[in-house]
Amino acid sequence: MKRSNFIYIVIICSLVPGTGCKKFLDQVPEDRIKIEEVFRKKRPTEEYLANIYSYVNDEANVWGDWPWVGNADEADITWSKYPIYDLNIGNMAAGSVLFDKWGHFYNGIRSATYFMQHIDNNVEIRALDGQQRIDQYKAEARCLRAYFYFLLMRQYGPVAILGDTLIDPGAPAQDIQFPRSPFDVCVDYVVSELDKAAAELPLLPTANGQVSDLEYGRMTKGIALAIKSRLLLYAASPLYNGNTEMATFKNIDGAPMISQTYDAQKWKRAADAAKAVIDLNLYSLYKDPGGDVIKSLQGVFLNAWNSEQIFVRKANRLYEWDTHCMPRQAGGWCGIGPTQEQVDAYFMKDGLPINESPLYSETGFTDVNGVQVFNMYINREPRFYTDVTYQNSTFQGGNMSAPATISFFVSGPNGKNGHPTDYTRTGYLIRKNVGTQTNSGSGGNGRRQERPIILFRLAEIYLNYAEALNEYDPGNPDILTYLNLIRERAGIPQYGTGPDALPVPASQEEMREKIRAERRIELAYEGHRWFDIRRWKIAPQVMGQMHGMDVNRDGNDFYKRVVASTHLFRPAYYWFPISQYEMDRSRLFVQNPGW
Amino acid sequence: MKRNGVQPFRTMEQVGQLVLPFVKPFHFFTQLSRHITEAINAQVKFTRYNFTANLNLRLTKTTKIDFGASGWISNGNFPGASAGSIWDAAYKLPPVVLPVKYTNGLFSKLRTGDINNPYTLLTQSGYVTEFRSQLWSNIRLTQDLDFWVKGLSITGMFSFDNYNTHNISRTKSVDGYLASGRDANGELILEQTQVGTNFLGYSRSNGGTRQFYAEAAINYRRTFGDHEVTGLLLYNQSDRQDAFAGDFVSSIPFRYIGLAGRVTYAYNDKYLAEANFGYNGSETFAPSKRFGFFPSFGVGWVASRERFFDPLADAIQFLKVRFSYGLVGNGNIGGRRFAYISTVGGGNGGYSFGANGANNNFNGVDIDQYAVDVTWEKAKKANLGLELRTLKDQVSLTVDVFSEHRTGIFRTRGDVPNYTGIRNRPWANLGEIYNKGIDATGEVNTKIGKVYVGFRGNFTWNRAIILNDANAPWPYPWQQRIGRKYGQRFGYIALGLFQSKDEVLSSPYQAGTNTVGDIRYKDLNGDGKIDVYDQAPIGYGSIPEVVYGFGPTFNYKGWSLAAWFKGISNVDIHLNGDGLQPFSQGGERGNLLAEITDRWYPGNPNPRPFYPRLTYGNDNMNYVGSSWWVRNGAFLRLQTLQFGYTFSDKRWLKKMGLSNLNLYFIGNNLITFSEFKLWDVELGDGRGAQYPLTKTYNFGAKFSFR
Repeated sequence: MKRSNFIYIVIICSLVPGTGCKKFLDQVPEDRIKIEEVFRKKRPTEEYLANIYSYVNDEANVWGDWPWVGNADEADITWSKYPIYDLNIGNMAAGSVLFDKWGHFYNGIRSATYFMQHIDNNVEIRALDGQQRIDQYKAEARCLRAYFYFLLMRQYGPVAILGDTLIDPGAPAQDIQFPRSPFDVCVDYVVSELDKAAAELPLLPTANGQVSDLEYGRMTKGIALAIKSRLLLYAASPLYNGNTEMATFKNIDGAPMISQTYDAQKWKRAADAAKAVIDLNLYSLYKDPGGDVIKSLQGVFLNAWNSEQIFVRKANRLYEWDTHCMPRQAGGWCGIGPTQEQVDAYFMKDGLPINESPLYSETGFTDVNGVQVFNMYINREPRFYTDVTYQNSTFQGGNMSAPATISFFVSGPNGKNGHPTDYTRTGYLIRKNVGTQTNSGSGGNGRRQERPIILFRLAEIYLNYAEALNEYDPGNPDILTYLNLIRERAGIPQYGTGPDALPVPASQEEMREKIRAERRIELAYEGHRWFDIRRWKIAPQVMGQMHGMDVNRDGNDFYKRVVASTHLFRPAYYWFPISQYEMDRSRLFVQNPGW
Repeated sequence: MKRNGVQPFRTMEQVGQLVLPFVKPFHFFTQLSRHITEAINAQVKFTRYNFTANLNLRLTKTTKIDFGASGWISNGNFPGASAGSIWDAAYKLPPVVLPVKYTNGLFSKLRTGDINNPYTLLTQSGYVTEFRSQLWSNIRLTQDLDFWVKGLSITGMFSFDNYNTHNISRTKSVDGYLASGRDANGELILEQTQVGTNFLGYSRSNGGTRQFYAEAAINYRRTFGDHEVTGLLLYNQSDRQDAFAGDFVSSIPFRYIGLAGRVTYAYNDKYLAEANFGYNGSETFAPSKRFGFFPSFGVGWVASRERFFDPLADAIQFLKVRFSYGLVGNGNIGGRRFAYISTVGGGNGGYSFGANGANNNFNGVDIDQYAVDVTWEKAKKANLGLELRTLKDQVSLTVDVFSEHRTGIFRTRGDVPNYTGIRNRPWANLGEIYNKGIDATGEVNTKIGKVYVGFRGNFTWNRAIILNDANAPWPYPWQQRIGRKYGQRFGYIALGLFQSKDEVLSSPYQAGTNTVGDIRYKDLNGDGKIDVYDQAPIGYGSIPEVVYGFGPTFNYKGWSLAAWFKGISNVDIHLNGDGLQPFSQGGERGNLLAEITDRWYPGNPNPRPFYPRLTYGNDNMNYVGSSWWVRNGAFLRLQTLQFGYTFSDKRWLKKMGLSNLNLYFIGNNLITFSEFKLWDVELGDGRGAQYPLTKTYNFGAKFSFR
């Protein structure tokens, strides 16, 4: 009896696994991936750097992720299901910030800081590629960090500058408080960081001293200087330069957030920064080798890695943009349309605006290949035709097997009657940078026309330069030189030179208007207009009711300017609000005015 | 075998069940719902088999081994599209925009990707078979040590549980078309809106867990005259493994160990006292913080055994008062496992470099979670109870009043600003909740004439108040979560509908186009606009504070009747989502409830219709979370009703070899009393787009063989 007891007790004990309590619970393996290990090896470190790069966004999704196109006066986006719709009707408060990128870019900033503080110990990279590679990667991270600060500043105005601080995640809330800094302090910080990065970065993407196709897309000196150019142009503009309307916008210590006295030297700084990019002599405006103006204008976007592109993002969702801009006849979602205001902004083919050109007419029709085209769309400049799909224009793309005439009449194939949501409210669609090879819409086969999305290109730098120069040194011949380079590529008469030359703008004011008009057209739908109308402080005048053709009508009744939608602008809308979440946790923060 | 003291005992039970749901008709205008219910009934099959086996071996007079195994096997057959997605589609698709099918036999589909035709989903999506099995098994050895120390015994137990799922999907999608009109010949003008796979595909998925559990205990129980002493010391450990873990961390077994002790003392069954402790270890904490010590104690007094109580003995047969207080640790804190170590993950994502055909792609790497100083969640629990039996033991009542103060609830820190750039908010033992309540159970068993009458009832009231939620304070007092109920609902306060354009103009700014017939909200902070600062507590929330149940039983000769009612109260339902809002997104989205007729329109005398002014699209704030859409979620439901008759001691039974025969009817969810009529009230918040609770009627016969 006793023996059998013993046997069973032994059985029970052997069934109980684990010999000691400690070992039983100690089960997280030691050789799992740890952040310390990441920075000891080359590939994981490069992956960490790629993670910082991933915060560089592609802004192709203009309806759900980025508001710059659909919330300005250049385009209207139809769908009420997307946040762009709520933004336009003013359905935003600090408690419900739409398109909030505040946390997103600060995540990128932290990762960049962490990277810069840890890469120095990377034995493997140093052994394989030398210290130079470590310095280059560090400069890339620095340039990215500065870029993220810039992206925050353009959206929120003054930001909190953390410098090289890495906030301890375990620290109590009262120990991690930072104030926002006045805008000019932010500008100076970001400029100094960009200068530091530019000094280290290569002119062309290189690996071990050799220019390498594999490295394209990495930060270069030109990118750092281009960011600096746009930042300083914004900082010199009326919104940030002696803007007494913002006198009550003060920091927690009472210092004005926005400079209260005008400083013309800011324009000089901006002009010099733009000139520095031009003087690299690395970039040139893209021109079709065959000299075809239309192909030149399209090729800027569709011809990958061309000489005009300074900063691009290779992986992107431009195919979604393509689909959203295409008419329903092509299987597109048919809902991103230029406003009538933007259509009116395009020049005529004689280079004059519509109200000055004898070629412009809003009555009658012209027969174009057997189709009656409204005279409003006749004799316009080439950029109008590359940028806009209008009533009875021809389109081929998406799932179409042959070119067809596109109609936005209410009962037409792309009209409002045919679909409850997929129709343009303005009677136009954007054609600029629409990859017609993309066929991933309704009934499509999923094909995508892949190409990098442009974040910075030389044409902008030219316009930055001309604008800044005209402000502090009007009459400087460079102003006309660079403005005319844009016009020449666009295939329209230049000011004071070339065939059919137009008269040189007589005054600084007139020149300013010409530069702004050129910028509006050349950089249309590229995410500039939203910032331009704010920094020029013209948003209250140009925002509000947006017009289009009458998409509720057929036939001749269609060709009438009617209100298509309202893009609300209130005084608070110069910047996005800091979210209430952030305000509640940041005891030293002041909110943007009006929120 | 019997000679060796072995007494084998075995049972095997098989229950086959076919569930045929009877779905209450929808409040829809559409005919679609009928198709769904019919087709679901036709396609869905579910069978389940349960089994149990026990084996008890008495090895010696003092040694016992128990072996048990039980489990179930189930097999289900479902449409390729899940029931949830079919209901979802039915709620999203407006009934008037598409026919079920076109006259030429093609399937209809809108252009918008996520709005599907529920008929197509139901009938053209292929099918999924799902096999599940569960095994519970254990072996226990008990050794009586009376021969050594009187009252002492030891026991050891080992169990193994295994759960497996195996899904096979043979699914497809069909081409979808949208007609925009008819051409001159009367033929449909069709646009292809969906490219389907058209033929069945194949995919498989597995899931499962297995768990080992072991315990060993020393038991002591002895009575010395009026003194009864018991003691227990128990060691246990468990090890559960996700057999198909999706990631590294969850592939690590889930392990716990514990040592528990208890000493009780009773004097004459009158004065009772006990003390407990738990010394527990959890894998999820840092080595230095793994173990926690949690003591508790309890006292009891059976007043009815006191001599002075004797005069009351006729009125009250039993009266006991008890109190317990203790500290309880929770090592299963949820949230993040192994929070004491930092983790590395994919970060925000990767990036692609390379021009002119060169591809140089990198995944992303970044710190995922930072290490934190994590430890046990603790709760101080107090309980005061009263047990009473009266009226000749025919009525019994137990009432408990309890409180629980939980501290160190593991949750993400809500006080860290985003500019820190920390991607995932750090976790910390910061949450604090105070929970109090009352729990009562009563039972009556009596006989009236020849009828045995029974009545049972229970009632619970429970309120949990947040003392700390690890968040920064909100700007306004009505927004604060602290001091409010856990699960409190917040939203705008609806004041009614705008009655005139002047009222719109003179009211605080509300986003969008507002006019007569739109909901007017209260501007709590008086800043002239309606925004998130004007959101205040509305209603109770979706967690009921009161839960109760009761039911009578009657037995008369062979007849039996039993009912069980279940009810909840102090709860509400918030309506939102597709299907509630008509014509959203340009009229392309949202089914229509029959309540659509009860809406605001010019001249409608009803100041509080179901719907405000209907709009085409989302142009204003009518459908944001507000008190307008809160409904009382209380209900009382006849959950089960059993009625039966048992034949016994009949000659014809004996001839058939039966000892008795029981014929019965069981009905589930037969009647519901609730003021909420839109959908089954128990589905709760949202839009009711789920498989509803079904009414079932079972008729059965049970044969007992001699």
